[in-house]
Amino acid sequence: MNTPPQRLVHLWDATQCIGCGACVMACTATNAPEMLFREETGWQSLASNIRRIESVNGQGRPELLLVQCQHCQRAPCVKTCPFGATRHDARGLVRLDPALCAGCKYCVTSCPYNVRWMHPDQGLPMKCMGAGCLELIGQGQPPACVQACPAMARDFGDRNDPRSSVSQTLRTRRTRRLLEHLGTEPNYFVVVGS
Amino acid sequence: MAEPHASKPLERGVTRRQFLAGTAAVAGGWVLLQGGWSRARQFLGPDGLDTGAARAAGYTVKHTLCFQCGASCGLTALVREGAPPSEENFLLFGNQHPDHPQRGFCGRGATAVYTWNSPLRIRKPLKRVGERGEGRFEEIGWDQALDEIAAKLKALVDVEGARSVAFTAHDLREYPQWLAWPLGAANTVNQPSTCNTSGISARRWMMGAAYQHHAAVDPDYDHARYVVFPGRSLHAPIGALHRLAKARQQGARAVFLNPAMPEAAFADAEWIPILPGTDAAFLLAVCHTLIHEQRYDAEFVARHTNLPFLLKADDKPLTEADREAGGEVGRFFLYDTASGGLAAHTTEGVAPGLTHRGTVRLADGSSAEVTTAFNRLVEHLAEYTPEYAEGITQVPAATLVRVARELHTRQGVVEDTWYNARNGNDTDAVMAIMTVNALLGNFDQPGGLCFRPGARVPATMSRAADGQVSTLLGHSFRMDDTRSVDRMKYPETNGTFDAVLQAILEGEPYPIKALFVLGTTVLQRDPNTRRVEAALRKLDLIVTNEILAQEITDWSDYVLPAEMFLERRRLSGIPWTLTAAVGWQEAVTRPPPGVEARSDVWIMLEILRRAYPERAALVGYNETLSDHDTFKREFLDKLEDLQLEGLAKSWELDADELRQELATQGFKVLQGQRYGQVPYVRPFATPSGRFEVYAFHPVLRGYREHGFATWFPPPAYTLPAQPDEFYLVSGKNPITASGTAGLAYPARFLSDRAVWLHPADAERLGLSEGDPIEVTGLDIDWTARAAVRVTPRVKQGVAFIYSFSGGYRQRRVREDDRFRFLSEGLNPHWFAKAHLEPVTGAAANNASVRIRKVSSAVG
Repeated sequence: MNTPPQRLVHLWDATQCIGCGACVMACTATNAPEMLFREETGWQSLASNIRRIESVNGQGRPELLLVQCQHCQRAPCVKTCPFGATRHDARGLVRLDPALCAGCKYCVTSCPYNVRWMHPDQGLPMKCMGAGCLELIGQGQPPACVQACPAMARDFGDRNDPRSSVSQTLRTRRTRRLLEHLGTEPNYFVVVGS
Repeated sequence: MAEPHASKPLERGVTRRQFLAGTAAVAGGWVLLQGGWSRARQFLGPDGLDTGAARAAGYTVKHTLCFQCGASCGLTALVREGAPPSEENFLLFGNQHPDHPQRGFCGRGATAVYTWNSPLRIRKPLKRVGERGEGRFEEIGWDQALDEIAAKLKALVDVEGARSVAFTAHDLREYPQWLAWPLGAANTVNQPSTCNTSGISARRWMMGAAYQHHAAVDPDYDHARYVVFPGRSLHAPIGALHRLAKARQQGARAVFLNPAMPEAAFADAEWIPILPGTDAAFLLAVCHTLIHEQRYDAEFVARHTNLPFLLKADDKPLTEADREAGGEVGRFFLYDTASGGLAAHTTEGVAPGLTHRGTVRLADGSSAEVTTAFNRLVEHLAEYTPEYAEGITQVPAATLVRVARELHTRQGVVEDTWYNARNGNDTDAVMAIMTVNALLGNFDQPGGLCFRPGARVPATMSRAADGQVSTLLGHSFRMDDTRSVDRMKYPETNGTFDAVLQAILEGEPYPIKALFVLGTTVLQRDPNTRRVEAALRKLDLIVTNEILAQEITDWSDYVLPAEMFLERRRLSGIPWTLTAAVGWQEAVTRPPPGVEARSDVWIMLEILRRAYPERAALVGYNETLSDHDTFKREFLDKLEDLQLEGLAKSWELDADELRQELATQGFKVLQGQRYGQVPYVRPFATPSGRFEVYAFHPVLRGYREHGFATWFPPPAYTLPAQPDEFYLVSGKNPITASGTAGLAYPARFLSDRAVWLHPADAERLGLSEGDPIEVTGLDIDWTARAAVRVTPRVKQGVAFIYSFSGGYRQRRVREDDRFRFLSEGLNPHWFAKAHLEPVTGAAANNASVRIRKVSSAVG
């Protein structure tokens, strides 16, 4: 009998998030500690793999959105990488092989979520998951943003495991995915209601 | 080498999942351990923090309480034993014990590591060499600094007396006492007037002194069903927010009543935009609706409030002294529907009537018309219809009625406030909040407004009403004069620093000529910056203990590097929880290399000893303790030991076991939450023992004409009237809005220093996102420039800025490219005229301004 492959997904609960920034800082500290006191000049932001975006919904209500790599099943960055440096791993995560990356930035420009940033020293396109979080999940632990959240607004796990907390949430809560019309099939789910 | 995935639970049954859930640790963590997570991960086994593995690898587990703001949330650290102080040698994260009363930490906690070795850290004692405010210093040694300060202090006190010296602090308020009290200086006046004074006064008047503190009464967030937050953003403590988040998963609803939408409202909460200074009108209209629709708890109102009490035509309560010669003024009367006659409020078994009116004979033979306070409340509320309130608050009447109904049907509460920006009518606003709660009667039961039992941590030094001071070390002495200048001017205040400014500037009631500032950002704290600056300029001596280069340090004659919370030990109660709990703040690390930080208490006592050794001896301090390490070991540690022993005795615990438990898990819950106590078993702490919806104390003292909450237009500023005029309101965010976290590097990106305007207002002024604007006070002649942020998160007609986020003017900020962003934006206190409420001394920090488009954000 074949074991179904993992499908690791991120889940962000917009109905619980208080926008405290702990996950944003945790990401920097975990994945790019050398950037703690430095600006990410592309976004003019903290060098984090999570972007904090405020907007207004169709009803005029202010909304908060935390955006990061969506680990799309049909990822434009995977398609556009001329060197095969960006690809899926067996768990469904979009990964970068630094050895193959030439720093051409095609992946940065092709990402419709605009979540990659260029490391000023390494010249590599950075994104979720960074090296620190890959270490974490390799040990079966949640990534830093999940650990950091004081409002229980984040989760991460295997969607193919019906017992996982993310599967249970996806079965019971109303969720949406970002820019789904682009056909990217993102693996970042936003909980928007009960 | 430890097992990398050891599974034994070493933190009293904390599972790995529990341990990890919510650890913003990581925020400090990875950075702090050289080798990254690959080194840290070995200590987080499947069942939690593997203390044994950590120890085997040379790490110690230490717990503390976060002081990046005043909320005291629990933190835990892994510290590399024997290693020099360095970011690489400690790992900081939230205390994840599932029973911790304030679990986890937020964006502010995550900035602690940024603060510890910040480029803005004060590293050595500084002596001013430029003009006050200029920020030019020379580094000097501790001995020189302390000798010079002591000599100047002595010269002043010998001539002008100890009352000419004032002290001010915030969270470190017990530290100045070590110098002030032996010196005989009564003027230790802290920050409350700009923070919690209005709430303290209202709660004291209505529930009694035992329940006046903002942390003494709180919604039961664990079981909350519906909570309305007037003015409060609830960004601290994160433990309360964590509990509310869990309750919201079970269907609880949160409603924020605020001119600007707090971040917490993003979490599927309701935000009701309201005009500044109109909360009381909204809440009194809620009361009107609750009574009009019979949605109040008549049983609670009759049994536990003073609304059945009889009032005379002069709005004073009918007392036994009115009815009998020599009768008690503290015995009130109500109408007993069972007997059909009057009964003293202390009489058991009466059935209080809420709507009685009648005539009573007085001791002098005359007659007086009396009516219940409830009748008077109904009359008082008659004008506060939802429609009337809509005209004041700009909140639709239908929304107001819906909130009133939901409060009733969902058995909700209105949160009783901590800090929010003030408008000059704030004591009445909190009284209105408490009036709603009294009508709902939802006290001390699941999901209700509940009372925190005290942890009973013995004070290291305490002062009785007669001026007798005693220390835990067994020393005692008497202060002849204990009345501070703020209490002389504002008899109901718990701290009004403006009275100190008046004493400095005008010499009333007597001149103050020296100021000691301990860990408080006076120029970001107190309204009317120009007035504060004038006072600072006039002082003979300013000494500031600080960890970071704040604006106040630039004005100081001497700046002394103080220990950060990560560097000191302290035993303290854990606030903002409905349990009685105590927390252990262990020193996680020593100061960074090159930072000659000292304990605030040591600094105070060393100055005292060098000026007046005989007074230092009053508290057991002498030259043998001058070595800082010796002092900590022989003085502070002894005090803490005595505190711990006293605490253990008070709770009938074994001191050694308590110490061990605190060291192991960082906290101890001494008493769990108990419902049904107040007022059902223990009465309210008012003179009548009832919830005094009609506040007798200020009426009987002649402070107020009547005892009900009332709305009146905000007196703190000229009301905006022209299209380019706005209310200027400030508020906190969950990331950087504290005097310490606000200076952390992430504030550059995770906060903003813009002036928020509603899109309709921006369009009217021809402004787009990021445009530069000029802001001019309507009452204060101060003009400054900033960028505009166009957002529907602010009510129309209101300009909003984050507090503690911009408008910093200290030299170090201006000179460091990484921190120059802090000089952008506005300090709201530039424009506030320092309106003080009479009697309570509560200060207002909101203002009104004129805004116009300019070509550059730099003036």
